[in-house]
Amino acid sequence: MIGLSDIVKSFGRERALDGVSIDFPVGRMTALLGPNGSGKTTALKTLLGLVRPDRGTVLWNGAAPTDERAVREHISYMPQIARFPENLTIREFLAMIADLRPRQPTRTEEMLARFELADLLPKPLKGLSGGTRQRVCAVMTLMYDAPVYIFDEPTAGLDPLMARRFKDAVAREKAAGKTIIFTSHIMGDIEELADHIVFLLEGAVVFDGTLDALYARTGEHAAEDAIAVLIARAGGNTRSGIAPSASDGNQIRFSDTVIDHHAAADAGGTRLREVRA
Amino acid sequence: MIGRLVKHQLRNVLRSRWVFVLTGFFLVFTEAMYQASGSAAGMEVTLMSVVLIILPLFSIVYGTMYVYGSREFLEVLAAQPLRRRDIYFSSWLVVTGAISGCFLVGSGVPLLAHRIGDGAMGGPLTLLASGLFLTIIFTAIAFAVAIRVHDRTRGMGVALLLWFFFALLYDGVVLFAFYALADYPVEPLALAFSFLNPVDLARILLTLQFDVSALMGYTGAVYQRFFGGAVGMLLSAAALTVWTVIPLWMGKRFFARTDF
Repeated sequence: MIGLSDIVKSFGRERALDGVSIDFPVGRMTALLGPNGSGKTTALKTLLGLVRPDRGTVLWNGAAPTDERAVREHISYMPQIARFPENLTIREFLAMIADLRPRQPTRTEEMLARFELADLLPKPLKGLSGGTRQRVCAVMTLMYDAPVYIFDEPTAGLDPLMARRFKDAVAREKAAGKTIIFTSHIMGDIEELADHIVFLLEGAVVFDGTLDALYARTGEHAAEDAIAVLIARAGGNTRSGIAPSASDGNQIRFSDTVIDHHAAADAGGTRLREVRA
Repeated sequence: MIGRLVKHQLRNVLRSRWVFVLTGFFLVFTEAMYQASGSAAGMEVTLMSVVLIILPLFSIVYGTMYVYGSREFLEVLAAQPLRRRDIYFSSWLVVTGAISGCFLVGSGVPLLAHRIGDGAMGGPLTLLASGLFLTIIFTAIAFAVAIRVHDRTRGMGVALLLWFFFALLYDGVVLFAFYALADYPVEPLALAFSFLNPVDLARILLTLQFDVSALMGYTGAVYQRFFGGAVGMLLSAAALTVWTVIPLWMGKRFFARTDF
């Protein structure tokens, strides 16, 4: 239904996406993973038309959309950083979003109750804590019955109770056959919710498949370990690479992104005796 | 859709403290100038510097800050099924409308009140119209700069530099050029140069209105003859309109391509 085809995007000299192609399967929940700066948010924003790619196409129903607005009518998006007009109240802000979208939200009351915001409706947005703003953001997104949801690190600012409620709401959407795309660094969320994983490293896709396929590929049984192996292997094979030290042939040097040095060395065909910072 | 966007954003801006502070400043300053000079004419001449220097400065600084401060909110809007063009124009309209409103109410009320008696409305109306145009132009420049330059500090630097150039430096450069070319008949050229800077254009219109052009010697006479006629007035209004359209159009193009 939606996807990215051969997207290249640079910010100045920094290449954020380097020929990224991803298909987001309909009715499934895709987790877009990768270390900080790997291009996850840029990929999401490209999909939404918030970032203009240097090359490549955004696909909607398999083709480049002629009207971006029409595409966004079907998407409800929760951004990573929640900042709104400071002098509006929560009620006014949600009313504003409803006023600007062609379809009316159908679950405002339910979501306000779920995220315990009903009593805070008359409060101006400027006095709210980061977590409360994130809850407002969650309501803004989930009050719509949209066919596609995009969440950028949705649970990062939420307390455990609210994160639980958020995940329950998202699980319900998933069960209803919605297409959901999200980024997260919280492995528990990924194991619990995602059935399709796309792993980005330095702006390139290094894994695209199911969670089981990820486990099978890496020989691990937990998302955290599997991802560490992915990063390590990519570190051995990509442009950062493992480079032999110039001074001593018995030393090897790793890129900054390598977490599991032993696995990285394994991938490079070497066994390590000692790891030094 | 622009109307709806303006309504919601204007509600937010009108609740800011600065709106009242700025209106109060214009009100107190204008009235104080009347009290200090003892005449409506003195008040109007003094207000010229506010219109030509302070208003463009505030417009460019606030316009730039608004865009940088609203970036995440503009992202939320851009993720909705809205045209970027509508988001851009509505945000600019809100900022320019709020600053213009502060000026028109704050300075307009005492300006017009002190002229009701003698009915000489030409001065106050030219002042208000010039202020309005300069606000519109400098907020448009601010939007174009802040959208184009992603780095906040650099963007503010560029905006301030542009204000400094138009409000202060340009005159100095032109004056120096004419001083160097004093032996040649450069008056028609001076006329052309004044069209290249909106602040200059407003300054000339105000100077002529307040009848101090005699101080400018032969150049003053050339200006008086040109701007005093219908063609001159039409041309200057057209030039100010062009000065509004160019940065607005550039800002719109930048906004259509910008990454959030």
